[in-house]
Amino acid sequence: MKVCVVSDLHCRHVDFGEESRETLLISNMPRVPVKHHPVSAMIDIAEKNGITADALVCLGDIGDRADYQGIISGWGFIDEIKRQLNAKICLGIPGNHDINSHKDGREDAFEFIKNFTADFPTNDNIINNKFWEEGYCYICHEESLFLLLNSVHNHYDEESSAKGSMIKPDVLDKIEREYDEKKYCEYNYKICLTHHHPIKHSNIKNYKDSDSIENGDELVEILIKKGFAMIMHGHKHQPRIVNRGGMAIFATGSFSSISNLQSTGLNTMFHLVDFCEDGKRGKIDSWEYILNKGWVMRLNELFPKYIGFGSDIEPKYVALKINELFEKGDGKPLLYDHVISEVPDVEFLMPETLMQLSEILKDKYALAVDPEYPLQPNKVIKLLV
Amino acid sequence: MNKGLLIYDTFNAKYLSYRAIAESFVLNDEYRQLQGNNNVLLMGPRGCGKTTLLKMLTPAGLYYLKSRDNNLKIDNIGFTSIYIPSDIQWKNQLDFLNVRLKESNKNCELIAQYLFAVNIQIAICKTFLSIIDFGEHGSQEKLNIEYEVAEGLIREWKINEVNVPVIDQIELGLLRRLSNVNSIINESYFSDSKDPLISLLPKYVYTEFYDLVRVACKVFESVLGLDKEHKWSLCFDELEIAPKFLQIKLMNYLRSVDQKFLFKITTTPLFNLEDYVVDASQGNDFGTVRLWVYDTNGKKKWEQFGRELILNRIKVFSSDSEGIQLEEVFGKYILDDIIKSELDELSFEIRNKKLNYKGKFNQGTGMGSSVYYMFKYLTMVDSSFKDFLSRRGVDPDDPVAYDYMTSKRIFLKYKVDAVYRLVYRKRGRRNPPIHYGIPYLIEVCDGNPRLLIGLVEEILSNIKSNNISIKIPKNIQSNVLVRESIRHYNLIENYPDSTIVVDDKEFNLANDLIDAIASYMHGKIVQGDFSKISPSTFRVDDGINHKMIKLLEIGLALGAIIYLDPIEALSSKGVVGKRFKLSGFLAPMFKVPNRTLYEVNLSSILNTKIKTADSGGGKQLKIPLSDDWD
Repeated sequence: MKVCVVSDLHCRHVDFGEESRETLLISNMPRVPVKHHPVSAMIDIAEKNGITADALVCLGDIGDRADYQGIISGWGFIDEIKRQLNAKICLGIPGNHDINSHKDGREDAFEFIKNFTADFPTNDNIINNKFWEEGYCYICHEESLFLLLNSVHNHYDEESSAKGSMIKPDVLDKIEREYDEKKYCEYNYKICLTHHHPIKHSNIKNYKDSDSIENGDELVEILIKKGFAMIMHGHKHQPRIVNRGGMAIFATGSFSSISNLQSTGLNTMFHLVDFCEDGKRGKIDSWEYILNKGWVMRLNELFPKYIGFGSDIEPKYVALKINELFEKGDGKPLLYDHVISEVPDVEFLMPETLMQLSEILKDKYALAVDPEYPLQPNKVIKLLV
Repeated sequence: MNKGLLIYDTFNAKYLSYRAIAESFVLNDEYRQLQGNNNVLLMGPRGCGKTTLLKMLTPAGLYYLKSRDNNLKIDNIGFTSIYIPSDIQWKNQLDFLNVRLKESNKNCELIAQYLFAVNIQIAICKTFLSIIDFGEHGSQEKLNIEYEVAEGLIREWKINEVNVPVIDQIELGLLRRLSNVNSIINESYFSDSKDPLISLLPKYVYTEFYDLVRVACKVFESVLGLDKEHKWSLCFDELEIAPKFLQIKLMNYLRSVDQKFLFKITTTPLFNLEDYVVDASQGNDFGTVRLWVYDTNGKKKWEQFGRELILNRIKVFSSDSEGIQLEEVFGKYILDDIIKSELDELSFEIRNKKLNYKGKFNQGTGMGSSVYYMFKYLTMVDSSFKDFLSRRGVDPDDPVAYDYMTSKRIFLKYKVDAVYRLVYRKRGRRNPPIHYGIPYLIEVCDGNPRLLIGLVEEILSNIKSNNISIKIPKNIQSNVLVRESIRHYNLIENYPDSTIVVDDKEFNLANDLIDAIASYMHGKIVQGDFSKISPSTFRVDDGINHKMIKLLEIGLALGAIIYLDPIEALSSKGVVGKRFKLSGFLAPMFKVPNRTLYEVNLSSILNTKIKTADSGGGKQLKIPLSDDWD
């Protein structure tokens, strides 16, 4: 089951003479040259490479600073991408930039985001009402279960949004009860979508992380217990994936907002998450957007173009197996393909586990992989003494 | 396709430029000459294709050329090429050391040599890896070879700090060493250390590049079981940006007795030896390959080559270009068409009553020919032209060539000059549609593929790709060429070394020197009294200020001026005594024809500028004309 993730578009219109310094997606920018427009370029690469997905998800901040034109155009772009990917389902959630919590003398903070289309966050009116009222909803689609969390549910004005995001205990309780009552455990692929991060996420440039979801740790605990494979969230713009109790917490890269990315070595991104049939393991392919080049897959050790998740295999065991294989070859370099065929689960190890594996290989067996983890190696070699 | 090729994750990116170059590469005589088992000086200005030719000699280049066309005859190359790009940092670092550290020349040279050697080591690493990548071995064998080669290089180059025997890691190790040396230099400067810099440097800075090359190739040959007689060619690119002593050092290797290593060195159209002595001699120790147009034969070859280049670009531009003729797209450059459109613009009174021109020409140079009407008109508006014809026995009221010699020596010889006077003389025309068509677009590029490709792509960008069958209007081509000509001028103007400062006055290659030369020629050929010997080439005579000479050498390297009659490749006098013309690509901007008739001394051009300025016409020359005044 493949899920394409497009998050943090921060789409906005720009008046004549005004400059956009924080987003690459301007609602009134020309569509050609194709490579200069993130959406046109994505559609182009998807067409050329035959990229398809079963589901398309947008993890909030469709617009930028509650720019209504940006939100309308941004969701229009999402719909365009959905059609190109041939996705059967398209889901969105609001981010802090999609609600008018600063009001500015205008209407209710949620008025616009609730009503700009009938298809947001899902195309089911009853479920949408529940989402806006209760701060969450479940969507069942074929073998997949999506839990949509409204992490800006309490951002109804400036003062409340300043307090940060939270999930009230009663909401957590409802999430758990509904799951049990409706026997959602029967679904194979269980994914939670939210805009804010449920666990602390320090940025590369050490900005203080002060806006993770209050009670997020409890949410994580519940979802681990219920067998969710992944929580996907936006907001941070800097991609990261970590393991919590066998569940992946995936901070997705921003699709077109460049704030928090300058001088980090990261570019804006979109991802394709491919879940294995077991519903737990999978691989993530990531494309980075380079102005004038469009979307490309790059060797980027900060967030590699190919990443695995969901394996609970111990790095010590993998290191032992690699050493055994290596010794069979009389000390000659070992093709990494052999490692993959002997220990297939190695492909589903997350970057943090791969780094542990690398250390064990070096310290215990004097072996190294090249290129080094977390990139995808092509060989294992003996270190020179 | 090689099965093992894609095992490396980085493969595509690493070789992308080679693949891209090979896809549009047009084989020419110069490439074949480079394939010879001899040392070669590959000479030409920027953009003339030196880098392309060298890269297509390398294992990666050859692989992609063969992938593109299996029938290409490129299998008989008797050596393996190592492509070594130059680094502008060598010169900058040397300047820094000389000025800031007040180190002795010897020590500065040592560091420059070290930088040079590291660059060669990295080039060797890249080449070895590409030979392995593109080789016929299986995936496991490739890994084994790389491991053994890397182990050997670490051992022989004594890079003990690298413990992962992978060629990429060796490259990293070399870069770390480089960074370490840079830190030592900076620390020595900023910390006011009392220790001389030389005492702080690690041992490896003393290694000689040639020794490093020899041991590395030995390691590689031994791992791959290559013949002991296997030849290598060291392809040094952009040598002109390296410090002079390094350039000279390499030039002396051209005399090398070790036939195992060939040197293919790129340099500007004329290598100035200055006060150095080089033992190697042209013909005996090295051959020369010149990549610019300086004679009729070269012009013909360039036209053929240029046609293929343009066709290649058109193929990329439009999928519907099969069998297309260039003249169908760009039109044919015919002077008579320009004359016709100029005469058609004249008033009815002049056309019908004074010229008796009915809008059609007869062939040749007789009555009713294009030249007849043009000359007749010019005699009406240009008394000097009238005098010129009269003095040669041609009736200005009835300018007809009655014999073959008159036709050839007057009518045909001065036709181009006359057209430029017809179009531009005493007329404020910014951009008449006279710069178009084949072969004109090719000719103005003087053998420079980069200029031609850029020009053609700019012209093509003005039309829709599905409309390639429609002829591109003359005015569009002309506008683009003039715009590109100005852009070329701006590039020359803004090149870092194009401006010198003398007595607090800036003197720029483009807007002081080239402007003076081009304005002089425009004045002589187009605006002034018509002369049978209006010069379009100039000779750099003795006594020109040495700073101007330096600028001219930069102009030569940048392609602002073109070296004519190139006999010497290495010269102790540099550009002095040599003849040049203005770049054909600058001719549209300066409204002068791109031709090579008659010469004038550069001092005459500059003296004219001085005199004109003295009498209140135009700006004064900002630096003294000769060294005597400096």
